[in-house]
Amino acid sequence: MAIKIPNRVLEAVILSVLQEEPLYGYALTKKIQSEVPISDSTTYPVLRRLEKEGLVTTSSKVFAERIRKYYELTDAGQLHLKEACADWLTFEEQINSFLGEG
Amino acid sequence: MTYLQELEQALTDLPQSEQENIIDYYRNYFADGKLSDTAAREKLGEPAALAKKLRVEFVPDEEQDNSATGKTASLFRRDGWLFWLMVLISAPIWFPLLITAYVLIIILPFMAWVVAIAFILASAFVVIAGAVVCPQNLWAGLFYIGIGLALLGVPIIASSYASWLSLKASDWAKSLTHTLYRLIRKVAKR
Repeated sequence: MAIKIPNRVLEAVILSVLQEEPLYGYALTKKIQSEVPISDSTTYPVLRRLEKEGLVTTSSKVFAERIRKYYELTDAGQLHLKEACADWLTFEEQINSFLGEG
Repeated sequence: MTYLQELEQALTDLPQSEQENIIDYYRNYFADGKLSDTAAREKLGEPAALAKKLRVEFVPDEEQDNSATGKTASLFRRDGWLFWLMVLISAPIWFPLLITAYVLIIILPFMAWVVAIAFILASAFVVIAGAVVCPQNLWAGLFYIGIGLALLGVPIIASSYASWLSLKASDWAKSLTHTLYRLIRKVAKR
C-alpha cells in the first residue's frame, strides 16, 4: 500500500518545480506525476492555497486563442521553499532512523 | 451537459471569484491535456465529486487555520487582526514591564557596586572615627575600628557579587532579546 504524499510535502514539491520555471496547471501536474503518483485533481486546491498565502503569483499568457494562467514563485515562496527543504531533510532523517537502510 | 457545465453547477455555493478561478483552471486543463469529457470523468472523477473535493480544500479565509495544533481557529488567531488589536490595547501594561525588565537587568550590577562603595566609605569613616576616639578611650576606639573593619566584609562580598551580576546581566539581556525575537518571528510567520 503506497504512502500518499502529505499536503505540506506536495506544497514544497510544487514550489520546487516552479522555482525552475513558471508553469501552467496541466504542465505542472504532469511534471509532478512523472515522479509522484498524484491524481489530476490534487494540484489545483494546493496551488490555490499557495496563491492565497502569497507564495505563488499568477500571470496570464495568451496561447492558441485562450488565456493560460502561469504560476510562479514569489520571494516569500522562495523563502518558504528553503524552510520546507530543511524541514523535509529533518523529517527524512527521523524516519530513516527507523525505516532507512540497515 | 458538458463536464465543465456540471462542475459549474456543483460549485454555486462558492464565491463567484472562486467559481471562475476553478472553471478557468479546468477549462485550460482539458484544453492542454486534450481531455475529452469521458477522459475528464476518468481522471478527475465525476463533477460532483470533484466539486466536493474542491469545497473541502477551499476554506474561507477567516476560517482557515494553519496553526500547528490544528484546533479550529477563532478570531483570536495569531495572525488575526483582533490579536494585534489586543496587543496594541494592552501595550500600556506589557511595554512598561518590558522596559522595567531591561532596566533591572542593567541596573542590578550597578546597584551592587553602589552598595559596595557605600559600605567601603562607611567603614572608612568608622575606622577613622575609631582612630580619633582611641587616644581618649582606647576600648571605645578599638570598638569603632572593629566595627569599621567588619563593615569592610560587606563590600568584599558585594563586589564579587556585583562582578558576577555584571557578567550575567549581559547574558540575561541577550537571552531576553532572543526570546522576544523568536516570539515575534513565530507570530509574524503565517
